[in-house]
Amino acid sequence: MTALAPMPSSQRHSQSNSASQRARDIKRGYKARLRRGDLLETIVYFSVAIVLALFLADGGATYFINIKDVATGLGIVTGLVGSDLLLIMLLLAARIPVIDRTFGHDMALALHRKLGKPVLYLILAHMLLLMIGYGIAQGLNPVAEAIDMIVNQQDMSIAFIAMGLLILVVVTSLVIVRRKLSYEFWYVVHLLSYAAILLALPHQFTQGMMFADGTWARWYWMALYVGTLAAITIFRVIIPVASSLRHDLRVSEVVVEAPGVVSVTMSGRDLDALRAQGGQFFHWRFWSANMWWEAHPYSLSAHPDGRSLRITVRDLGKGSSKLLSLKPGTRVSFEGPYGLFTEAARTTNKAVFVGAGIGITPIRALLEASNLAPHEATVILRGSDAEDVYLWQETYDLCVEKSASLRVLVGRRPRGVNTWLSAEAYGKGESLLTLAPKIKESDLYICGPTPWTELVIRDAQRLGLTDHQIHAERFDF
Amino acid sequence: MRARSAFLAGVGSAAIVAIGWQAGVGTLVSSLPQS
Repeated sequence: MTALAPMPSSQRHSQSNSASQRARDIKRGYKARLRRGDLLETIVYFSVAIVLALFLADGGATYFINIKDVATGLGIVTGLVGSDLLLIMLLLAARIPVIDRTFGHDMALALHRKLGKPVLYLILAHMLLLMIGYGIAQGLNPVAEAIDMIVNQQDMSIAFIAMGLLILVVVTSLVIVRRKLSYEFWYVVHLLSYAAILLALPHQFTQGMMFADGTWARWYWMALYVGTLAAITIFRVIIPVASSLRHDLRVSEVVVEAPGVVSVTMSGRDLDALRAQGGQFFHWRFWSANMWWEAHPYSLSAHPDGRSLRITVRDLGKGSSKLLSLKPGTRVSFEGPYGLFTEAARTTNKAVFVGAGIGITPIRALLEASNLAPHEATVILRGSDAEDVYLWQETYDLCVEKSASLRVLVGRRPRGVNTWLSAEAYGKGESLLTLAPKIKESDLYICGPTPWTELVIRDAQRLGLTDHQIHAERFDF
Repeated sequence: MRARSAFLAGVGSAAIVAIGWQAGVGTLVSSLPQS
């Protein structure tokens, strides 16, 4: 199925000028984002370097003169680097706007998760090496040394509790364990990471020589802790609460789009000030009797018009099924907007949008928000059957309005073949390249189930698209 | 991270560590066994 609207010839010349200007703007924005990304990554490297420099400046190298002090020296270094990276992990999850605008919410959280295990290993190594090192100095075995620390040394008992909490947080976040836990339970356990950091803090100041009064290290670490705490408080608590109160968002309409699929429109004050873009998502909390305790991430399914916001959700879990019972007037609080699945991620003026099932929602909103010249965009929609292609009429109308090509692939995937295409399209020899001939010089936006999305990404990479051209926002926590 | 930025970040980090080493080298020397 294809839709393609003709363009009046009188508009072509002026549009080609504005298109080249737009291409330059996109390129400039892309390069600025790369520079910002490099700067942020450099700050991470520098923070680790500063930690090591402060250790050395305070005479840390003396631990490595005698073999009996080496374990202690290594224990201190692993603790310092582990603590530094732990704070960086928290900053990555703190919803700091510059991080979201540069890397995207999903990439920031992917890095946050990636750091989880190395940080745990560093802090475990810190504990074990100091038990050995201090044990050698006192003539005690490591277990006896640990007991001595807990019983006789200030703040060490709560530091060991912090260690236990940190292990619990990391273990419950391992994919294999997390799949067996409800989101709400995992979230509450994850909040314990803040408790772990607060419990570990006192021993760093009372036991750690690196935080001694009057040293640069003390000021550096205090700034790092206060800055991280401030960022979390501001961006995860104060701004969401203030924004929810300011915009006074309420459910205005609930529409059943298809069996099990519902659109919720919410109206509020000064929604322009949110600067939300089609393709972004929010964490929503609906203050109804059966939903107020849980927040869920849903993408906008329409570009905000300044008066209302709309989401479209398929009945996938207990949270989304309850949306069907929402009454107009229900108060809504939110965190967001988040995500780089937007125009801001563009690297070139051409775009290909690929959505499957309910994954069409951010695609439809992004298409609406996108500044596209005629024939610069291709939209590919997938559904396992005709009823699985949601918001189809709206997407069709947008494609006509923007003179974009629309390809709809309906039907199950072929058996025994690892492809994202329908059996019919696969049988006809269709591919990403035949469906979107300009894909090599386009940005590719994908939204759908994760395994399906990975197959589209695989095909795009085989065509030579770079990681910067491929945008796939995933809902992770 | 682009190669040039990674190189600069590496050089900058090494310089920061070197400054720390330089600041602490006095303490290290005074701790060494005297002959």
